[in-house]
Amino acid sequence: MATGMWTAVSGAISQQHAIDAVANNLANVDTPAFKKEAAVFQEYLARNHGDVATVDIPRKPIQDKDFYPLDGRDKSFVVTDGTRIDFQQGPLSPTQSPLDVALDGPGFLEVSTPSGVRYTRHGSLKLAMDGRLVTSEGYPVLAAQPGGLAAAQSAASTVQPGQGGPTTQGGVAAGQGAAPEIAARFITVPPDAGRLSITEAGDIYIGPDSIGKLAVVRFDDPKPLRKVGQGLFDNPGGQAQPVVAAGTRVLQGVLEKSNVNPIEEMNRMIRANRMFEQDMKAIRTWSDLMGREANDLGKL
Amino acid sequence: MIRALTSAATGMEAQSANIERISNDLANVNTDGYKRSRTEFKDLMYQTVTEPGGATGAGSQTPVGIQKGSGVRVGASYKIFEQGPAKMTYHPYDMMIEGRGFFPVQLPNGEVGYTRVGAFHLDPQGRVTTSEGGLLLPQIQVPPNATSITVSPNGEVKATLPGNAEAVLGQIQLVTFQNEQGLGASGNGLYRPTSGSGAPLQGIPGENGLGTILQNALESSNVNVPNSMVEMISTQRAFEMNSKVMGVADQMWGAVNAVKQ
Repeated sequence: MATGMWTAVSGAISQQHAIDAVANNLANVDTPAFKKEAAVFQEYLARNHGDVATVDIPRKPIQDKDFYPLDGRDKSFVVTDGTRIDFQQGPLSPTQSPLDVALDGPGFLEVSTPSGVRYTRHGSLKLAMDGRLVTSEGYPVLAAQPGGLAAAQSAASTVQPGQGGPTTQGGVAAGQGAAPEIAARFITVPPDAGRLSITEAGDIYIGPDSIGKLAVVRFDDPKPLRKVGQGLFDNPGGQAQPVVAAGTRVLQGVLEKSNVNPIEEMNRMIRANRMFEQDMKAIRTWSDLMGREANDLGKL
Repeated sequence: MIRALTSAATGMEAQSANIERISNDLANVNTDGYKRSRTEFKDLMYQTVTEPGGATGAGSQTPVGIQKGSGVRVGASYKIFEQGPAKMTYHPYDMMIEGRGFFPVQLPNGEVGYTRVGAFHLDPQGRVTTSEGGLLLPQIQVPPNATSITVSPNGEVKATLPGNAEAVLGQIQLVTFQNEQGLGASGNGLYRPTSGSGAPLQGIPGENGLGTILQNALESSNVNVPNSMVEMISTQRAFEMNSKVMGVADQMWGAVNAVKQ
């Protein structure tokens, strides 16, 4: 009885998902390089009775449902199909801090975390006490090629920059310490260095000496990427193929801001709120109907 | 809705931490040697309801998953050691560092602190000290009959004595750290080394990437007022937006409660 009530409940739950997404987006309205999300809904048929072929001229007393090709659609529910991450570029804001980098284009920086290689666009980099270039969580940022200045030049002939082994192993490497081939790609800044300069191609210079090149990768299809918090993205099982990001500029002294648009989020919030109220109305109507069925039907 | 409520609460908390930081920066807009701070936000962990790429049948996969975020937190808050503008004071014991570096100072409690506030004075014994009584290291003693002192850009301190004589009093050393942002601020313009900053690296001003010394000047605060104002506006609005979300979550919850009369 009253499956229609559950339709309204499914609607209310979906709107709740939408509100949760809006709340998270608006909480991250000032988080650098945050990528907004939206919930995507889908209709779900609970009971599809009545085949297409059997709906023909009725050979039985006509009931009012024969006039509508309902096919169980009156018993449909809505489910949240997925949350879609919008990888649209956020606005760039200059910070003048030499270790801030923004990526202008579809690229990601490669970062070594205890659980493998992760990808981020949050380019607020720091120097660790041992001179390694790290994110604010202390995760080392990776260079496109293993080794520092000398090793990069000697290894240049054997290693394809930015692709192949190290990046794709990140998803499966379960682990504590970084694999040696990942550790070889850490970027170390000498202690008595002057000002760092980073070119648009990601090359890091101290004065005239290059100390490495930031690994900037791009995904042709970033959909399998999963957020793991702290601005990091995981590539579970290596489903997305990272490729060297041509056409992504590395801008020094700039940070990418959140791509959340407050107007859009407010609009979505109001809509979800009102739809939620409608669903609640529908539930109440069903509740009233059932009350009438139970209490008033027998009265004469 | 509980998630929306708590997400909005984390947003409000982060924005209020930001307002506290901005108000501290603006309060120190005229503090010599003050370095502005930055609060950096990070998104919190995600709950994965459906894994992207999960199989939905033979040969088909969900292209996107369902991930629910749980808000924001202050990921880091640190000083920006950008050079502040020079303020000419024409006081011979005022020194400003142009570039990287800190003055090492022996504090009254025996510890060594590091500062960029170069407003020095003389103590009764003629030693160069900060206004809190911290002795500049290595100690420099000015003879009582010195008519003037000069500090060269590379930190050499000379005194002019009566009768056109000149005496070298000492050499100012500067200290830097591998990771300056890892220094702990302890007020009074002083910083202390932490395990995140690395060991102090001492050197002669102007060498090995260290800055040079400019006498008769002080480094002003590097707070950028227009920027702080813009940040204040956007922080306030972001706070309001998060409180709106909280209100909506509350309304929705109220609507659920109203279903049962």
